[in-house]
Amino acid sequence: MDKTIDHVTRQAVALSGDIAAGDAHPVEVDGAELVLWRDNEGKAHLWQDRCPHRGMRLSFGFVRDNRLTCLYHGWEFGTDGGCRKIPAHPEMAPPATLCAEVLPVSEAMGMIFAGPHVEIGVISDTWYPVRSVFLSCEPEAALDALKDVSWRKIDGVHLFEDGTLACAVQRRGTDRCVLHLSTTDPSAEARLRWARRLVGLRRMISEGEDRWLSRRTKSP
Amino acid sequence: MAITQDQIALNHWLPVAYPGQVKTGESYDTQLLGQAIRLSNTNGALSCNILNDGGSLGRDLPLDERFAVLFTTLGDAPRPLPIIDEFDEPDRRIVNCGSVGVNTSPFRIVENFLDMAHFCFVHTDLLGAVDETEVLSYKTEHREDVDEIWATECQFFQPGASASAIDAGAGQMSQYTYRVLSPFSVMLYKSAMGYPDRLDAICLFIQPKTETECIGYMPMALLDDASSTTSMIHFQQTIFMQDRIILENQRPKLLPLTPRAEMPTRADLSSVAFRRWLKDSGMRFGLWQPEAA
Repeated sequence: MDKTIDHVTRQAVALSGDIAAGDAHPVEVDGAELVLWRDNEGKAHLWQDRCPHRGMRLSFGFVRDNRLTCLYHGWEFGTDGGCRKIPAHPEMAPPATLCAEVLPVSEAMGMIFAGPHVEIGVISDTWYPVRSVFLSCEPEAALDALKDVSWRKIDGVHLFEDGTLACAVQRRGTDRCVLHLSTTDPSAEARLRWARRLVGLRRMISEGEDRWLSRRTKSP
Repeated sequence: MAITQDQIALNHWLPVAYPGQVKTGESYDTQLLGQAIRLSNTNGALSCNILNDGGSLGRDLPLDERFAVLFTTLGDAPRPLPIIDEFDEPDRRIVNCGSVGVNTSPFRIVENFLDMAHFCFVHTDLLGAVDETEVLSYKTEHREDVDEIWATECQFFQPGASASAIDAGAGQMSQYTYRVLSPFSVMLYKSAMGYPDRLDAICLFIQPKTETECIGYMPMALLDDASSTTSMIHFQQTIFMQDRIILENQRPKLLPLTPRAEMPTRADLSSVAFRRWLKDSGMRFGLWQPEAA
């Protein structure tokens, strides 16, 4: 279709703690619309946000009996993406060719990633969500604003020098990104400190936008 | 967008307002097929013109009032408006339901109107019940004499099929006949409460402002002495608002005709016939085009 999912690269799509079992959420990655949902066993699934029947966004649907159900005609899709039920024809077994487009997905460091699992070899089994911050800029600009932090980059994830903080980028589209942060530090203070830092970052970037806009308005 | 170059799309009478919408001394700017137009009411006389980029008025466009809707055309040889006898029957109530904006392809809106399989899920407890989801087989045909697509022998169990059925608290097995009147208009005939041998007529005329921005007009010719006009309009508006949530969230917004882009089942027989007919018509406006390889 016009927004294919073939080009989606490995990147974070959400903090693990933000997607509850039985929930479906829309996420945007590299301009593609995807649905991220969690089944009753807690496993995350990432599909093209589009029912193969009539193109309805599956993120508007609901999870029942471990299946993602389309809001439009109630078609039910199993965790492998295959269509299990077409309510308009209750007696008919849906053909095996009828499936949602499934992307690989993995979880690490308290985050959900598009793409296969990569062993990063860190540190802690327990990660705590800090915040996802949605920014109107290229991810490089956002990371640049955090460059006083001493990061090391491992397979696309930026780790704080002592390994207690992870920051991963989600590219939504041109000039739109999300930074997802998680930490191994269980203290509320640590998470709050970093959450404030991110809110400050967003303010700085949006004020930069405002300055840019006011320059544009004044120019002849 | 600029005015479409698609002659197939241009040669239709298309709705632009409902009667009474533009009051005396006022004007109303809208779009048709990407072209800005202006309706003006001067001392009760309505006119419709092309609206040029600089704001000046361009050529006069014809206006025709039918089925409680105002139509115009940008084409030189438009397909005639359909014949719908029910609007001329003296005992019918003609109810103009106003208009609703829906940002998607006009053809997605037609398909949704033809679709029975969504009743249980989108119009729960009105046009469908969650435990009666089956779409029984029906027939479709291309009536070549009028160049219309018809779907006949359609039936569906409805807990609240109309304003009058809700008042009566009665579910019914509704009988439907669908007519695709043009690529931009569709209607249905449906069992009327208390009139076993006659049918309500409900139309949907679509004004495509652009390829993915439309306004729907829903005039009805009903057999209903009991319901208030307000309750009938509310019912139809409720249904359309429920559909809009779906319609604006189908992807892509332009209707794809390429094989396997969307997978139909038997319940989609009318949609399949509509898509084939659209494809054969040579229409390009409002349709998803695969990128050139």
